[in-house]
Amino acid sequence: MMREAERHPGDELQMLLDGRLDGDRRAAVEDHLAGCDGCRGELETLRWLKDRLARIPHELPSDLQGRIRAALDAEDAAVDRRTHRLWRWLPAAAAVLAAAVTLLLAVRRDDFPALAAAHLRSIEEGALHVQRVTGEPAVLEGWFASAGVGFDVHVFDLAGMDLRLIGGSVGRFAGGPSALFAYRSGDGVLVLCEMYRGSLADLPAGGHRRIREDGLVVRVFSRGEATLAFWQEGPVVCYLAASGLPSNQVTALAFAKAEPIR
Amino acid sequence: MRASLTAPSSRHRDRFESLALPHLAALHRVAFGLTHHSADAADLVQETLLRAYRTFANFAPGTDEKAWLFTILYSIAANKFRTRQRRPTEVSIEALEEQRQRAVEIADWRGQEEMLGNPRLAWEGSEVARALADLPEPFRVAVQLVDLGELSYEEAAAAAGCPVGTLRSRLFRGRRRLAAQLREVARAAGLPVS
Repeated sequence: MMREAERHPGDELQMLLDGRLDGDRRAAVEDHLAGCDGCRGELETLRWLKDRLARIPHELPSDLQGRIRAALDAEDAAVDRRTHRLWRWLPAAAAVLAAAVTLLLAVRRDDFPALAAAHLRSIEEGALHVQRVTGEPAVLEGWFASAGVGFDVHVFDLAGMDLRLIGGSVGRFAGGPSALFAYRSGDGVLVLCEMYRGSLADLPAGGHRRIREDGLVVRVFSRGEATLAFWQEGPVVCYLAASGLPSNQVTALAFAKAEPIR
Repeated sequence: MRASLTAPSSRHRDRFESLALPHLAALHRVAFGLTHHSADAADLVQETLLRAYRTFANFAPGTDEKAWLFTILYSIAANKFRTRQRRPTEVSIEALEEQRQRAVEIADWRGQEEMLGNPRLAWEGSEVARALADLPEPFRVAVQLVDLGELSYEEAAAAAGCPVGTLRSRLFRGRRRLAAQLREVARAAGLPVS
């Protein structure tokens, strides 16, 4: 068997270069370097490259900061105008709002697929960001347990389907805490999964496909470009949402990963 | 929602600027690497900061603002690339890269180091930038985020939407491939290359 000092460190060389090796690993790599011309040459080449990359000439356009401040001014002015208009129309708006709230309460059940699509869009647009960044499902499950969402969270490992876990957050859904986690595919498609205490019976009664297979029922909704597949796992409702995948792929993911209580 | 119901306070704006503007140069540097065009890079940075400002009310204090800004930047850029390049991928880029990697494996790193330091090669920044631009996208993005954007592995992985281990592997392979491409530049310049 090859001794530690004889084993070439591979990408630990760049970890050393980037200051990410500590303690025993650092000492082991440095021991190896003392006796290996090839690895010393590779480390120096990587160091040379890093230095040259940092020195690639780069000129920040002189007007960029001014342009950005002007764009922010325009955004502030637009918000000001909206606020102004809101105050002017407040009495009428209040009446409309009251009617809307009444309607909303009446059709509250219809909101969940739209709310799920809004969550997906917020993450895609960077408005909502994950609180715990990790690519390890087990780490995220532990984090959800310590964050106290109130139910067991099973974070799917979708690496075999080219979907890499980004991380997760504790959110709100259907009036209670939710566990939300996101994946991204190699070509940038975002897939969102969210779990919350509730019942499929609270979803809209129509306007969806109901697919039953091997004892599992998945309800598939469309909102805009997003496909949303909901199913029940005991007291918890789960959904998968994506806007860059065909709906049958989203449904297939749900059937592949769901663990129905049979 | 909060932003549309209350007039924007100058404190809110000041807080945003003091958090975001220090990263302007790094954002533009990476945006330029992604777009290869100064005007497009400026547009991308402006769109990033405008989108960040609109959602700043949701920004939790204590969150890594640099990772947040780069995540938005990369998300806008990735959507643009996706719109421009919506076509089926026949072979995964990583598999393709494996094949290429075998062809560019450097046997003599000692010689490579000496070759890079050869005074006959002036190594202008444009040569290194061109070699970087020729890297396949996942590897180029990893190198750009870490070496141009000066992000940590964790921040870069969050921005690129991949696990830290994947980012680290792409970074290493991207840097190795860059070294191989520069060796070809040296060979073309008539230097003895092993």
